[in-house]
Amino acid sequence: MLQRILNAPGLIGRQTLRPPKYLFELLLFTLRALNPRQQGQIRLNQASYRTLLGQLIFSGVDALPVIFLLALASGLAITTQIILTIQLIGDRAEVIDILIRVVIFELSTLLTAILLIGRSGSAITVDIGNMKLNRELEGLEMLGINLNHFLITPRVLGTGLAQAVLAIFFAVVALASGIVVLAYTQNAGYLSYLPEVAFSLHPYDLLLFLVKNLLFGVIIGSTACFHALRVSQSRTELPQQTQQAIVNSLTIVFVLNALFIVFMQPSLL
Amino acid sequence: MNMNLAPNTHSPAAIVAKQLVPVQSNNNIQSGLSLQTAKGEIICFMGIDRKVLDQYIRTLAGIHPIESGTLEIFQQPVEEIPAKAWSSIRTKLAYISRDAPLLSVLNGLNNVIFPALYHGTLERHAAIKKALAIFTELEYSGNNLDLPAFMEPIDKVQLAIARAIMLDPTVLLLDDPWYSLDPHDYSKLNDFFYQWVKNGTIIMTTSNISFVRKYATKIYFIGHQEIFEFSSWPTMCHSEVEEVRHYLRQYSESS
Repeated sequence: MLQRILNAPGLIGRQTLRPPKYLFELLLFTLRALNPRQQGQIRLNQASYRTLLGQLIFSGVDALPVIFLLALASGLAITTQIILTIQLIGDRAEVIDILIRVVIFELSTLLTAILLIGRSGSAITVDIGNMKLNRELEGLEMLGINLNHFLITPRVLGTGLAQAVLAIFFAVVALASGIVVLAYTQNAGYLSYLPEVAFSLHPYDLLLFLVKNLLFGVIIGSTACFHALRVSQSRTELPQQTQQAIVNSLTIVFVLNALFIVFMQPSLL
Repeated sequence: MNMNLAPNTHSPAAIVAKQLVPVQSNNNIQSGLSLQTAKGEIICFMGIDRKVLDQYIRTLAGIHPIESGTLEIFQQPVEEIPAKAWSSIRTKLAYISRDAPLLSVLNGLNNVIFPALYHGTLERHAAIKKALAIFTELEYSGNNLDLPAFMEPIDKVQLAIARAIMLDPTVLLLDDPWYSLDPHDYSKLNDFFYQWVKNGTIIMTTSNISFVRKYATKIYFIGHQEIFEFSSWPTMCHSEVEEVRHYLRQYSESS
């Protein structure tokens, strides 16, 4: 009993250090994956590009129908509501401002990230985790193949690009679908919102939107790979690491999104 | 019948081990492994303890840590080889584990050609051509468009060997390649190894006595306390060492 009490401060200390240690390890892992000169050689070649292409098709192209449906539903439910509600209490400029803030910068980013985490992040963890359990990764290393070059970097870049493209696609569909529905059901004049929203986008905010989505995609990909490589001996580790990858990705993306608003877009606060 | 090839002792040895003992191997071992490879050699490791054999072959491949002794791979002490040099060493020193794990997401042909594409040694078209030529040498009869999950054990082993051969290694380290095979498939690999070794060196752990008897140029029997080196199968058969005789008796009883 006394021993347990004496161990308590150490336990609290270890538990407190766990999240920063995890984030530090994840950061190092991500930076290694993105370093083009890993182990002194640039090795993004035919084999790596095929993995990158495969990841882009799986995370990006294959996800287009479901993103389209999600964006359409969001457009009908949220874009229309924002326009109809805000125009009652504010002027046209305020409606456009809120559309940009909510639909373009937040909704598109977060919903796309959630979908990418659930769809691609979990798939990457299961895929690479299974490879590790079956000792396929050891087989690759025995052929002089750097796992980062061949498996990790293409997947991390693939999810980054997929997130950026899908978020843009989501924003366009969600905005357009809501406005078109309002124009069709209420008044054709609502269509003028489309060019006005487009012209109201500031280049700095657009750049930030792109950077934010690339970063979120990279984090989703690297977190999935990081947890996959933590699988070591047992098949039971695979679902554990998959759920950890999903939960941690969601947490990091949401927290970073809040930090982005606080530090990078104070004008939006 | 012994079909030993004459080893070429003129080119520098690819692997030189002196009193080598792997970590966590049999703690009772009194003398380590001393070995020097030469082109054209088929070196077989035999013994009763599979785990220890596994540790020795993995140590020679530079994967398993060393407890004591020295190991040089391509004239470099293994502990001094920089991390970035391993990528090119692996293309010359191919290690194939017992499970011969292929990438489960790629079909047979892509499994074989992707290392060459990765290392940039061949373009895709040339890689496919070379892979098909290796399939012929290996007498590969499976469907190379199947995924590994749907393959026969012999197909997987042949493809794992083909994948390693694609990079033109000079040393093949094999962990019991016959492990998962039916005896009637043995001859396919035997003939291939005999032909291939004319251009390189093969080091393997095995219990395939018929192969050892016919082709081994050097045999290491790893016992509980000592490692015994034999220059051929007949010398091993005439050994007075009780452990070796016990092993051979077991073999003769099982066959």
